[in-house]
Amino acid sequence: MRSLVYITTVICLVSAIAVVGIRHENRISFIELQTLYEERDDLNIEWRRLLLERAALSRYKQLESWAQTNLDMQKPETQFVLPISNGSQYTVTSE
Amino acid sequence: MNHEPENTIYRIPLRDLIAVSVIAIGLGLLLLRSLQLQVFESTFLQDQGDARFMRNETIAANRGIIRDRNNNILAISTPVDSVWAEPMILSSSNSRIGELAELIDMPEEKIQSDVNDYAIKEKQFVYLKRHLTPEHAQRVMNLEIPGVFLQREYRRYYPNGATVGTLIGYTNIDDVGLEGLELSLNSTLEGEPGLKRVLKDRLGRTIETVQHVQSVRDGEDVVLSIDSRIQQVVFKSLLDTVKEHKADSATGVVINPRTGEILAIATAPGFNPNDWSDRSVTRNSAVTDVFEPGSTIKPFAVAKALMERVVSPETVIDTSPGYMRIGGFSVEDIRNFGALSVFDVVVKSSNVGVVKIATQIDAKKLADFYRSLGLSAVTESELPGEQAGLFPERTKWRQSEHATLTYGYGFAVTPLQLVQAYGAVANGGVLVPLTIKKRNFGVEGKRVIPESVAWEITRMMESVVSPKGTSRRAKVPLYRVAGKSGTVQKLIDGAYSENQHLALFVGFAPVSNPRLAAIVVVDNPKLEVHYGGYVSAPAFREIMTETLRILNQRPDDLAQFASAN
Repeated sequence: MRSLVYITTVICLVSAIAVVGIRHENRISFIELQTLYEERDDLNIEWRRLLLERAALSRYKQLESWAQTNLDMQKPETQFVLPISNGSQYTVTSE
Repeated sequence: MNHEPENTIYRIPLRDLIAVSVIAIGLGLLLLRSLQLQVFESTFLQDQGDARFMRNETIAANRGIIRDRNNNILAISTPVDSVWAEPMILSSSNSRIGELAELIDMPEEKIQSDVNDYAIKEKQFVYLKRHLTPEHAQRVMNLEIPGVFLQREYRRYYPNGATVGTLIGYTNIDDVGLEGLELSLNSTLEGEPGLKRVLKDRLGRTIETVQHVQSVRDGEDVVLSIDSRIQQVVFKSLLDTVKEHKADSATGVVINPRTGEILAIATAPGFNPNDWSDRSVTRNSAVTDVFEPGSTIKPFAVAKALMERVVSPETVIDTSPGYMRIGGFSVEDIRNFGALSVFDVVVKSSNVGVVKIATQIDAKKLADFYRSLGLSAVTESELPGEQAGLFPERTKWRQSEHATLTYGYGFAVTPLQLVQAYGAVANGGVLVPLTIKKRNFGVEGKRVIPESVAWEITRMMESVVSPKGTSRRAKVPLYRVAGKSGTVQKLIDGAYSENQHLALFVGFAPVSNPRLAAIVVVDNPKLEVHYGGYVSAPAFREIMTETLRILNQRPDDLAQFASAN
């Protein structure tokens, strides 16, 4: 009977200390989670801004005028378009 | 040291006794008080403490991204910070409002008076400046003015600007959809804000997050069937057309008839959804505006006549003298075409001819055929604000109504419905329901025209854009094109207007393997020549030329190669 009391007391003490320990751990983990959330949010913000930037830079009309001015490219006029014959389907009559 | 007598009992000095009892009573009182606080009133007090320093803060959800079929971004929300104040606290540090005003670029007196007004009314919250970049907002916070806080919000950006304005619509300052797809898809795009409990200090700064009450759910992304490259091409040529012909507006739609996907849908002049002061024209005319289809319906009237076998393409119809009277109404051609084959009735767009052909079919049959093409019925596109159009219900059709049915008056359709019907012809007679969302799987169409008849009217419509037809200006270099123009008088207050017209062109390409169908509607072109074949066909050509190039379609007009080389 006596020993039972001792054992229970010890168990109680251990559990009490464990509670404190776990609470502490919980707190630390929660803070870490918070930091990770913030990091995620920051990365998300950055990502969205980069997406927006890419979208703005890759507009079709913009690329086209860039190609025309900087690379000196142009759309071929009809008379400069030649079909490449595959088999007998096309016959190219130009010299 | 002197010894006390043995009988002397040990006595506690009175002073000691008093001191000890005072301490004991004090301790007892403290014990009682702490018992009272900790046990009997603890809930109440805890609540009071929490109410002062614990706050529930919402975590704003990211609104979903709207993408085009190639994953390019059409609408995206990026975080911004809004500066707000607790008026009562801020008004007590009036001296610093000047610094604040300078940094957020607001007149100092305005902030001063706002804050004081709100403080008097004992309000807890006033916005000072909304939507600053996070960096800018951080600089405001670095001033460390008591009572000034940030609120994380989102601002919507549309990288393609005005080209998608009427389709996508816009959101309000709280990032809630107000128009267009932003409105109709709002429940999908919108996330669910989360809730967290935070601990704040006396100045209201967040010290730590205590608990996540409800985690945030971001909105879903939406992938549209739109190709933003084609969308830009369409918008640009519509804008040019409006300018060149001094028109009120122009609308264009490009679809893939095989899959029913809408590749581009634009109205010019549009508005820039990025610009909050520009909310001029927000209607998506391609689905909200209805009109009588006029001559563009003739290929279908002839198709039905071919299906009913009342004529063949070679049957000769006498259209002399270029006008006729039917049921008390007069039907006129632009000139006397004389004897025309059924084929040429479509090519020349003869009203008299088509009336003579199609009145041989029962009016009800013709009406039912039009309806089977999806005309005057809301499509499955899920576009917001879509109108059905108008189709009269008749048990008995009058002769004049029967006649107008054959050349496209007396009922109304939207541009979207008309291009859908042309898509069915392009598809060899199979109508595929339209959609604005990208289709990742095939969809079963519905056969509405026999393949042989679809092919016959395609041949006729190819001649329409040939040098002998009404719309040679729609011809795309190196590609075979089929289409039909139309010019209709606008119905204004129940009467046909003499000087206001709609110029239409609908068609598809490449004819040998149609991949694209498109419509151009120009509203009220004010120059002398206002015909669809003159005003809308060139815009159609420009749209098709660019789109075929963008989509790398194989040129199929070999005759033109031969002549060009």
